[in-house]
Amino acid sequence: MTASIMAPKFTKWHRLAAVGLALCVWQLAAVLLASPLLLVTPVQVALRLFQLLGEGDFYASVGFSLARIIAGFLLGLAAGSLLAVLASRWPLAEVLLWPYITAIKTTPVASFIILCLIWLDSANLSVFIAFLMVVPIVYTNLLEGIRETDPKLLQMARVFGVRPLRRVLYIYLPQLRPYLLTAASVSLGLSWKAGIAAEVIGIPEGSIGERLYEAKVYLSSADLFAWTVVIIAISILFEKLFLLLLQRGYARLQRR
Amino acid sequence: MQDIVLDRICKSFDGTPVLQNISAVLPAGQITCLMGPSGCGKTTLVNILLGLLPADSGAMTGLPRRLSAVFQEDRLLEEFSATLNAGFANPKLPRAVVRNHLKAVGLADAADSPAVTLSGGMKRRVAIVRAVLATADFLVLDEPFKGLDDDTRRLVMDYLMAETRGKTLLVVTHSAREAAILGGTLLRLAPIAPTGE
Ligand SMILES: Nc1ncnc2c1ncn2[C@@H]1O[C@H](COP(=O)(O)OP(=O)(O)OP(=O)(O)O)[C@@H](O)[C@H]1O
Ligand SMILES: [Mg+2]
Repeated sequence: MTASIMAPKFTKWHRLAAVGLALCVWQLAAVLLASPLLLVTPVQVALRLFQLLGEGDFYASVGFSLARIIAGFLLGLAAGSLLAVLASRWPLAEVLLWPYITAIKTTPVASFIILCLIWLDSANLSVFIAFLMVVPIVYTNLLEGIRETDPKLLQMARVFGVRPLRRVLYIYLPQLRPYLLTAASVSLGLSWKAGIAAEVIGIPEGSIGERLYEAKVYLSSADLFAWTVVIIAISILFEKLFLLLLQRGYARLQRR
Repeated sequence: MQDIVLDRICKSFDGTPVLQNISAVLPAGQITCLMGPSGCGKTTLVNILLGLLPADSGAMTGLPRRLSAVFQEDRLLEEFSATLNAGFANPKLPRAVVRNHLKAVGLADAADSPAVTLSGGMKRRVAIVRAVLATADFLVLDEPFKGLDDDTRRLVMDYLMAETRGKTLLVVTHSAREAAILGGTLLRLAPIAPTGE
């Protein structure tokens, strides 16, 4: 689609080579600085990462944060979809929702995190923050998608008296596909980053955020970098997995 | 089943009259062919009959509750198979029955192909099967045979007439030959003269 027009014309190998080069620049800079406090070498980060992978605590922290952020994401997906359906049916709902959606979109995440710390206990803070990040994105995209649904197909369904569930499955869902994919890939990354930010500020025990906070307290660059690598890796995996499931779901629907 | 009666239907778009005092009777259980030059308002009348467009004035009586249609455009679910599309208006129908109908219009090999991959004439036939399979007492078909070659057209016309026997049909067509084969009453829609009636 549009991505293929925008995508630069380099291959996997070009990218791999560029990443390798960037790592070399990093290594060189770290060696020249000669201060592990300011900048660790990529080799040190890799070593620390392997150490972490051997610890039981590591998996506990990842599990803690992952479960909460995924829960927040899924709740946000459900709530955003529901609100989009309501707004598409009743203009009044859209008007009434507008201030909330705009407020969530424009307020800095940090303000929300601190505000929510006053309301909620820190253990479940990331659920709520991830939820908040997802709702407006899903809402806005799906509402647009619903509005763009081909009126001629909807008329066809009306003439034939097709039931609402079948309209959703066979008319709305296929037409919503690009909107859903966009909403999911944008909000997945965002909810994950914002969720971790919430944990760094709220410091719930046994979370990834707590480990990042400790890295700051003990001035451990190696830990900070290693955990960052972990966060990025999980974020990418999570996004790929979710999009794969979505594509699978669509493929199954089309095989009927 | 009653005759469908149109009584002085009027419709204009932005002040331009398209239908002016259209009165007609569509006899119950029979085929009525609607003819008229391009732009004279046939599709507009079809949309009014299907309840997709309100008439400005006039009345319709005898319209059954359950309708079926072949629209001027195919209006298929592009990503889905010909079988799903053909059975879309009647989900209770077993797939095997739907497939047999597709076979009857020469689409046996296309039953599993997504609609988007079908040719124009194949899509048209899927739309016709969908309309035939819908449980309805009144079928409105807007140029249903457009894009079909002579042999296929004949096959599909025979299929349509056999499968809709006893139902009320309104068929929009540009071809006097088609109208003659279909039989029934002929309804001519004349374009509105600039001076009015
Ligand atoms: N939604 C609309 N808004 C404005 N004008 C319209 C609209 N729909 C139809 N018209 C006009 O009404 C007139 C009749 O259109 P209609 O589609 O009913 O013609 P038709 O008899 O079906 O023609 P064809 O044989 O080419 O399908 C045309 O002049 C068209 O431009
Ligand atoms: Mg027309």
